Amino acid sequence: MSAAKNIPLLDDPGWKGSVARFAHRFGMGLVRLSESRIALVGLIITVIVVLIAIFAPVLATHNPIKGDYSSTIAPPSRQHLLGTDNLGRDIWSRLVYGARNAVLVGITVVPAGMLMGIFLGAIPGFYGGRLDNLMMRFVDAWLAFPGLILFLALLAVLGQGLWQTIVALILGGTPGLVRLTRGLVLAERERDYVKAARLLGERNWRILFRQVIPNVSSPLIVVATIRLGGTLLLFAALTFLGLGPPPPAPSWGLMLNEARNLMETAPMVAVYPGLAIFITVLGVNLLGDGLRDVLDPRLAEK
Amino acid sequence: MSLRLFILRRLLYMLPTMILVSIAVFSILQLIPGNPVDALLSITADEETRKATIKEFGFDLPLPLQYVRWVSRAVRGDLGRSILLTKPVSTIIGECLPRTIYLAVGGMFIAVCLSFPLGIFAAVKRKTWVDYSAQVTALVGLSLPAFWVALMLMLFIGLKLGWLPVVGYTAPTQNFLGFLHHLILPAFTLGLELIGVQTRMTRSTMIEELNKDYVQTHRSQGLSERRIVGIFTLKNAMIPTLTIVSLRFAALLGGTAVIESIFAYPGIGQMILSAIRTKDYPVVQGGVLILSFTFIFINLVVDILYKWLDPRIKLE
Repeated sequence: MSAAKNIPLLDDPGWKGSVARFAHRFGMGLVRLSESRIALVGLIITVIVVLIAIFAPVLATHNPIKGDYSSTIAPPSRQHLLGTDNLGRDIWSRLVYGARNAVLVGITVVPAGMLMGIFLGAIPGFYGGRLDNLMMRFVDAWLAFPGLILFLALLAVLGQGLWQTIVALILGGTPGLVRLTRGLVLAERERDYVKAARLLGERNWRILFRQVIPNVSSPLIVVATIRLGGTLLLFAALTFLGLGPPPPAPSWGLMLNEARNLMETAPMVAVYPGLAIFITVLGVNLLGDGLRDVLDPRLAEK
Repeated sequence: MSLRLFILRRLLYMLPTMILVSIAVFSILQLIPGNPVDALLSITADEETRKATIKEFGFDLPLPLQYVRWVSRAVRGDLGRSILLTKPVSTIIGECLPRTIYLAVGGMFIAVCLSFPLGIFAAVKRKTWVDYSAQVTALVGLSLPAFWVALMLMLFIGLKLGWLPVVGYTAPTQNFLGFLHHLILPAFTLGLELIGVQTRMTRSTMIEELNKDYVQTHRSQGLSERRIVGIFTLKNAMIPTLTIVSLRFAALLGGTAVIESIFAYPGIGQMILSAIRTKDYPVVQGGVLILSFTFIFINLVVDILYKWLDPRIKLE
């Protein structure tokens, strides 16, 4: 752990050095990640899902939206690997394209949440004072909407659709991350290296961005990844409720919703999308747990 | 800090939160795209109804005044009327909220019954197959989409085996056995959703407690592990665990919407959900407001109880 810590003060490697240091750390992180078997399994599942999303047009055997009315609710065959739904759409192709939504949620919600955490949590927390206090009152109010209700209220205002759901997921997840980042920064602020940097006349924002934020980035990445599993489940739930991307979009939650009417005639139609969600979320959760063990073992105790 | 001072401070902190929440809920009607009057009425509404609506909601007044009007009505229990059902929103909430509470209690009961023993055994038998299987269970619980589990349960237990009713609700006063029958599947799904987090939490709290000095002392005194756990650790680990359970229970009131929707269980989550679909905004506002305030209130009570049970705790 200590090797990965920033060497504070007077060490100004310039942006090239910073990039090199980041690359080095990233590489070391990957090496250590592969040492943990749990994380490796999680990483492999996650990478496979991402690859499926990227190569969806290659992997799909049919158009995921256009159905073939001559073969509805067909059983699995060589032509339709997992069969077709009530509109004659190929389930395998729809599943493959559905991975794109999950990946999209991952690559937007996690970084956006971390940025919100830094801007709304770390900066006010570091400077303290009235702005910080005000921000915390807002966070309290934001967190006072229990469970799914916050997302439902947000979607009531934003309307329904893929991007609206993503924005709701980002906004809804923000207060938790803001509070977490602030707490980490508050603890870091009291550390000796920050005091020393101050004594040496280093400017506040430089201390914050060059020293403090890199030092809290590990737990932040870990928590953001761990939360991604829950976010994906939430996304699936919201699409299932019909609040996400509108039909006929190939989205796993939506596929489950459409399969409800087929429960008695073709129950397997409802099995596949659920399995896809389960495996993806399992992979992300494993990766998050592995990242935690590697990057920040202290978090495991909490 | 004395307990009384603590309660006072906590109440003081609650006030801005409640005001901000009420402003946010009030804003829902202002923030939706378009004119709030159009949002409340159908396109075919004539000029007369439009005028009446504007007057009833006070849309001709400046915004801060509208807010004050809305709040002062809400405080007196008047949350407006449902557009679709033409019933007072407070009446609808009064019907739906208890059902959600039954569901949440049932779900929490199942979750606690399963996760506490699992977490405790995992901690005591650390790094054995008991521990590993508990951790796998927790991980699976964290990764399973609850609504999918619900569908599968409906399919196999409801439709294939026909053991339990798949949808609907019976009032407990009307037919208690029927009420339980309708509650089992939704409550079990909800419980399954909670098992992951709670097993992990119980396990880590218990491990932390087992690593404390007093446990070492008792071990060196020759006390059996079973007695140490039974007499001391279990009790000490229960306080933080139960606190989090009660906080989660409060959050659960807002987290049942999906399950309610699948099982056609007429709770408050289902109510808000269908109100969003039908754009019945007074119901959305009333439901969100009541759930949030209930949540804030339960949090307050839990905080105070926690402090009372364990005075060492310092809360900022």
